[in-house]
Amino acid sequence: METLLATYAIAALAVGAYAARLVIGTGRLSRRLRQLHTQVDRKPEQLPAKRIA
Amino acid sequence: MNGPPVDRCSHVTIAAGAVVACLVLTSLLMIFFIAPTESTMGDVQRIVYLHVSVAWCGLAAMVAMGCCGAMYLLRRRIEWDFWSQAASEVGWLCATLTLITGSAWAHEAWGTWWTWEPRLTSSLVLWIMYAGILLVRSSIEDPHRRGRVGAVLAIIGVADVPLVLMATRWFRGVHPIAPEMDPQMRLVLLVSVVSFTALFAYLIVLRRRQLELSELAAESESSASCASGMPRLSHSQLT
Repeated sequence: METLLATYAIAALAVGAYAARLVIGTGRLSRRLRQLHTQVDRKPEQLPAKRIA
Repeated sequence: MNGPPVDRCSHVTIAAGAVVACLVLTSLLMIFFIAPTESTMGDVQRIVYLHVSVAWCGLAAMVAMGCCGAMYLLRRRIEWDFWSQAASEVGWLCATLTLITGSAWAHEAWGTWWTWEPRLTSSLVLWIMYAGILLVRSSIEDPHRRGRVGAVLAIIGVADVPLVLMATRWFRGVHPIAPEMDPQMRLVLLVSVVSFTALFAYLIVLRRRQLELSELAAESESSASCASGMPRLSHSQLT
């Protein structure tokens, strides 16, 4: 019974870790893209003065 | 200008994730509570349901990778390489789990963790091929060169799939060929194969989406840096 449970636990850990990496990575990329789109959509006069200069 | 194409698929992705989670949960419940206990091996035989499912997914991912690689070579569209890369990662995960679950089962059934038997050896070759493809891909910076090399290696890797499938028939070994099963066990095995295939296909789609987003972010990053004079992030910083 221990072998059975250990095998399923290893599989669950491996798949869970990979899925979590995908979800977190995709979330981070989505936020970054949203931020970048907001930045590109801004008109030059709305950008901070330091950056225009 | 349209909004970012980021959240367009998020509802569909979440709904598909919920369906896949339900399928996997159902199959786990069936494996542990509905499948009858095998008379000679006892509870350890339940490893077979996971082992067969991940082994099938590992082989299917290699075939998918080969097909996507061939499509990339024909069309030269980077989207095909995204599919190929996603399949290679998930396929490697499945091949690793096949070796782990197989070893655990073999320890109980044959009294050894490993034996140089044709099916086991060809499965190890498949794992080495996946690992090799991932290593080679990670060492190439240029996306199109990476795609070309990855595609050629994936097509070579597909040659091992019939060897793994037919190893028990072509060569003498100790690995079971197609053992007689109780109808209830067969049903549980079928449900497990379907639900784990859905799970790994879902992971491939998620990974492919992530690769597409990282490409989009790299492009947007360069547009944003042109507009505001901000320093550019590298592609690796985005992934």
